[in-house]
Parts: sequence; C-alpha cells; structure tokens
Amino acid sequence: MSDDDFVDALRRTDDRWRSERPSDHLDARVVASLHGRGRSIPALGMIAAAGAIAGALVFMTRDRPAVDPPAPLADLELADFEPARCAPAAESSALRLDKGCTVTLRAPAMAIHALETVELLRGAAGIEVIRGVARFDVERVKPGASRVVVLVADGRIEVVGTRFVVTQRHGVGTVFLEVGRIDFIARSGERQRLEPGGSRTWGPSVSAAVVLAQPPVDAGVPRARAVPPDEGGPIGVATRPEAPPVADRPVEIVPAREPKRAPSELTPEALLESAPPRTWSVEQTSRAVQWVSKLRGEGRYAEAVVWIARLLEAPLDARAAEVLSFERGQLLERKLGDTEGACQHWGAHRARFPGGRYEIEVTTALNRCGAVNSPRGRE
Amino acid sequence: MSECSRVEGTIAIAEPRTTAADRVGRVYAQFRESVFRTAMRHTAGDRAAAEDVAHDVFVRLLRAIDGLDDDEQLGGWLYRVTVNLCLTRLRRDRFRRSVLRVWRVEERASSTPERDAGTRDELEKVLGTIASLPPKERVVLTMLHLDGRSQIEIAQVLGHSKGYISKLVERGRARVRAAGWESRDV
Repeated sequence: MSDDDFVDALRRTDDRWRSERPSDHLDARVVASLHGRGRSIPALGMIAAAGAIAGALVFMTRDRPAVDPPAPLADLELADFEPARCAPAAESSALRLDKGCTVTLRAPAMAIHALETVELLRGAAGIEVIRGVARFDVERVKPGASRVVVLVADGRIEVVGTRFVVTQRHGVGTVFLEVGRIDFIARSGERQRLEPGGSRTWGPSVSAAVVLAQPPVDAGVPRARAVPPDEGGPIGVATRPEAPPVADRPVEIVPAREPKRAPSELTPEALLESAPPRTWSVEQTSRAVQWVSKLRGEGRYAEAVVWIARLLEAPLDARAAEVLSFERGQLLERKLGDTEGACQHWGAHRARFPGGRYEIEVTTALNRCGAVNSPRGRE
Repeated sequence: MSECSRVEGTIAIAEPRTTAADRVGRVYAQFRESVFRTAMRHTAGDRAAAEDVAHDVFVRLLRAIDGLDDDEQLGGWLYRVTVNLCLTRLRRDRFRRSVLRVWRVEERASSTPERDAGTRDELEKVLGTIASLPPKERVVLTMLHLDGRSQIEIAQVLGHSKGYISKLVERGRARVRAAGWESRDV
C-alpha cells in the first residue's frame, strides 16, 4: 500500500461525505441565531425564500437535483410556552415538556398539552411524539388552512377541529379522541372513523408525528399573521404549494416513518424483548450500538437518548454500557440542550462507572453542572 | 480547490435596506451546502460536528459581512473560517473523537449494507489514520489532498509560514506511513 493509496482511499472516503447534506436542524439553528427568538416573520420568510434560491443554485452549479428549501423546523420557536419555565433553554428540534406544560403553535392553530412528561421531536416530517402522553388540541381547520397530520402506524387519521390524546410508551402508541372527528385511514386505504371516546392503537417501533400538509394560509388564529405568498411562508411550516386548498380539509393522522432495517437486523426493542437475562453477545451489543448510531446520524437525538436509557437497563457488557452511557450524556447536553437531564445523567454515570474511561470528561461535565446550578450560574 | 473558494453565481452582498442578518441569510442559502461539505471533510465525516461548525461560520459572518466587499472575498472568508473552526473543534474534541470514531465507522457501514468487507476495512483504516493525526497535521493533509490547496495557500489560510506547513506535511506523512501505509518517496 503506497502513500498514494492513502490519498486515494482518503478521496474515496471524501466522496461518501460529499453525498451528505446539511439537516433541517442546521437551518433552524442558523435562522434562530441570525434573527434571535424575537425575530419577525418577514425575516423568516426571506430565509425560507433564500433557501429556495439555494436549491436552485445547487441545481445549477452542482449538477444535482434541486433540494427542498430549508425544511421546516421552527414551528416550536413560533410557539408560546406556558408557563414560561416550559420554554426550552436552547433551540433544538427536540423538546421535552414536563407534565402541565403547554406549547401552542400559531400555524396551524394547535396546542400540545403534556399530560405526562412528553418528548417531542420536530423533524422534516413533522412533530413526533417520542415518548410520553400529550393532548393535541387542534382548532377547526378553515378553508385553505394548513392541515395537521399526526403520524402513526399503518394508516392515517383525518380530523376536522378536534382534541385527541397521543400516548407513546414502551413502543406502543394510542390515539384517543376526546372531541371532534378522526378518520383513521389504513395503508391499505381502509378508512375507520373514530367517534369521541374512540381510540386506535399502533404497534411498536413507530412513533406518532404531527405534520402540516398544506401551506399556512390564514388559519384565523389570534396573533397568527398571514404570510404574503412572496415571503414563502414561515420557515417553520412544511409547505406543499402544489396541494390545492380544500374547504374544511381535515387533520390527518398518517403513518410515521418506520425504521428501515434489514430482515436480520434487530431493533433495540426486539433485542430487549428477546435477549435472555445474561450478558449480551457481541453481535447483540453491536446491533444495539449500530441502532443508536443510526439514530444519531439521522439527527434523531431524542430517540437515541430514549433508546440508550432502555439499553442501559439491558445486560450489556460493562464497556459497551459505559460507551452508551457517555453518548447519552453527550446527546442530552450538546444536542438536546437538556442541561438538567444531562446533569442528572452525568451523576448517574459517575455512580455506575466510577473512575471510568471518560472520567475526565464526566468530571468536567459535572463541574459545568455545578456552575449552572450554583446561584451565580443561574443569573 | 475548495468549493467555498469558488463563487458560482452572483450574490449582491451589499443591498440597500437589508439588515446584516438578511444578507447573511442569503449567503447561507447559497453556501450552506459547500460550507457543510467542507466542514464534513475536515471533521472526517462527523456530521454533528460539521453542522456545529457550519452554524458558527454563519454566525461569525454576521459580524464580518460588512467588511466583505465582493464574492471572491466572501468565498475565501468562508473557507478560511470553516477550516479554522474545524481545527479548533478537532483540538477541543480530540480525545472524544478518537473514542467515537468506531461509532461513525459503524454508522457508515450500516447505512450501506451492500458495501463489501474490503471497502469497510479501508474506510476504518482511513478514518483510524486520520484520527491518529494531530489536529493541525490532519487539517493540513486534508487541505493538501482533498481541497487541492498548495502549501503556500495553506500557510495563508492557517496563518503560518510555508516552512512550518512543509514541516507539518512531512510529519503527517510520516505518521501515515507509521500507520501502515507505505510511501513511494521513502
């Protein structure tokens, strides 16, 4: 193997990186940083429009298909948090609402109440309920207004102004309709209408997600501002301009993304269910680590955190558990901005792996926690 | 030559009645992918780190854009700041990166299951070699071999003398050879 071989190998590796695209999360972060939390919607519109320009420029200059405008992520930033303590400390696509917290989105008009601690993730497809119990209170959808889509398994549910509770726990989800109307449309096309008091359950490894499926024309929401067409709409809203406005278009509940996996690949869920109560094999551990790595690579940090927490309860070998535990702390602190959760985790990590391989990092992290929690740190 | 240093298309940096944030927003729209890819390259495919760097680049641009007169200056500025922020990041995260390297390799491997074992081995070895290099040598070799920069250009971007860059290149190559890659010029 020659020196040139190294360079060639490096270039082949670089070719793989070239196919990577920045995530929606980056767009949201940059927008938030450029304009701050008090930014105006016109500014957001301009960024969204600029995103469309970017797609065109990439298409013209890079000989690749045009990419979508910066995908929506900022809805939660355009939302009101009640009480104020519920607002996230750091901008993130992931959001954890403690019991009693409410986040109100302006377009579409929708409130999410945390009936228990709930972890939400805003991805390109919408808002996913990673874990917990939340009540979605959707205002009546007016003609031409955005649709709200909740992603669940094996079908979709269409709603016109309703209130429903989504529960995602231990890999199994349920939607319970309190008020209004929900049509659950199976992937097969079969439609099932839920009446108030009705419910629908979906299987493991699928989370629910709430997405928008239409441009946010004035939904008649107090404080919500209709965005002129030339502003491209607020970046925080998924727009599909090709969809014609439909009077009284219902809210939809549709299948969430389901992890693609090879037939032989086991999810951590399957591993947790199937593994005997002894130390996992190298293969089992490897699959679990790969799964978490995949979630991390896709920016699904909140899900990764949840899975790692469950994996840490499994009979992993100590080395793998320590690596996973460290990764969880990193994700909580650096990716999710959950300082409190991270500090709790670092404490637990130290207790479980005293003098471990990440001792320096964990000590540093705990020192940061001390600084944050001190009276001076709270100022 | 880095994509960042090539300005393809035209952007009016100084437009009347637009705020710096609006202008940076437009620059972001045009350069987000090239800045991200440059950061991916210099962080050895660490997507999270690359996004962090890309974010910081455009936040810094907010303060600098008034002093950038044309697209050429802008492209050079973006490249320089991206590379230097990557270098800073590598220094800060050196220990952790080396630990997490295996994860990233697995991630890449698992994302393309059809990849054969030989390719996977090569990928692991390349990433392992890159990770073993001190941050500055790593960045210099990446600029040299992937960005197509001359040693003089590298010296300008990193703010060092050409002689120092030459020394870093030699040291880096020696480490590459020590990692098991033979060299024709030895």
